[in-house]
Amino acid sequence: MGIPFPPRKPSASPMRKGFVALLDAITALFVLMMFSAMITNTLQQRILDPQAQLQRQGMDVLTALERSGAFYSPSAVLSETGDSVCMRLEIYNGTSTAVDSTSTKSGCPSSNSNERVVWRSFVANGQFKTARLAIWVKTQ
Amino acid sequence: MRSHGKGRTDGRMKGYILSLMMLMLMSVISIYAADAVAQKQQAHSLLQKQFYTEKTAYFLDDMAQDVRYVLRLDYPSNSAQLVFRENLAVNKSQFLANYSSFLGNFSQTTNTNVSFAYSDPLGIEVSNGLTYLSNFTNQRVDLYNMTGGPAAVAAYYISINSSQERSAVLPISFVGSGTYVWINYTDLAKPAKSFVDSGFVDPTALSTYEIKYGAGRSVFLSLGLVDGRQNAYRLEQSGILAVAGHSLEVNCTAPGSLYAFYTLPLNITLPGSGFTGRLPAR
Repeated sequence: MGIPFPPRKPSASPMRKGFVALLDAITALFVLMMFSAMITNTLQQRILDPQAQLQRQGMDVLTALERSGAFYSPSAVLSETGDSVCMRLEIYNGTSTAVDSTSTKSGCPSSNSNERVVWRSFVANGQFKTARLAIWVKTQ
Repeated sequence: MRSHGKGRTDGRMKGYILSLMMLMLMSVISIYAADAVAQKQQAHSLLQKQFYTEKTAYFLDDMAQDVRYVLRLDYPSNSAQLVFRENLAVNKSQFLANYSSFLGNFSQTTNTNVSFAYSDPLGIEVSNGLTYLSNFTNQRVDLYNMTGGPAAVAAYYISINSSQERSAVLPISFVGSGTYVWINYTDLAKPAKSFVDSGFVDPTALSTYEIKYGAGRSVFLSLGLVDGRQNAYRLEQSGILAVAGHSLEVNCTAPGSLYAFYTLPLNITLPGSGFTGRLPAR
């Protein structure tokens, strides 16, 4: 007679092992995908917001208009700005609110609620004038 | 029993290594992600600063284009050539005073703050030492080397468009060598009493050219030693305001990448940036 061995703890079954391994793999994959998604999302964000890019384009257009002396006949310059943007140019006498002339790019509506505004001063026949360019992304 | 205990130890070891590998992988991904985000933020910050700089440059260009209405400097394809153009009949003091007032209102509209100081004469200073001064009060134009030596000019090409009708001309006595001078004059008379004259002047001696419009009314061109400055140029009107268009093209003896400023000290404050200095002429 002797002291009997305590009952042996049964070892984990192969099914249980496989379940744990699968759970482990799924968790790892989930974490990996989450990180990948975060990185991709971060890297694909635009560095400069579209509004700033619109303003930059507006500044270029006004510079071109002043250098070519085309503030009062801007259609040729405005039509060269690509199909994705719309513009409206207003010329003011001095800095007053009286509008000398208004031109809208061909094929565009006259205004948009998301327009960005760029200003430039110029001299015409000895008179100071103000040019106001409203620029926005064309919606289909 | 021994083999069973060894198996358990191996299993723990495997789990430990697996956990360690997972931790390492997670660490690498975390570091990569943090680095990517930091780079992105840095690029964003740099681009934002660049955009602010572009806005300042745009504003300066806008002002320079406006001031060019009264006095402009052009560089033709050859950088050894500079062309100063102006309309002497325009009162620059009045123009710039009005411009200052206009900019005050314009600044409010565009959320900027601009101030500039102006006193007659209006000038352009070039990086090679040449200074062009247009004095409306004295009806005089000067070009000389501001550093004191002879102006680094090999040739002067002068074009004058007069709004009056000349009577007589007392030309320069040209010499055999020195600085080349070419004068092209046109006036109001029909047909215009135009003339073109050219030759060399001694840069160390005064040479004058006088265009007369009657008693006590003349336009003087002085070249060479003017007010103690060698190889300089001066146009002066006496008793008459005859010269409307004036163009002075100079061929510099030391070509290179030249830059120039108006003698207009500026102070600009824009959202996110600013500028203190003189207005670039080009």
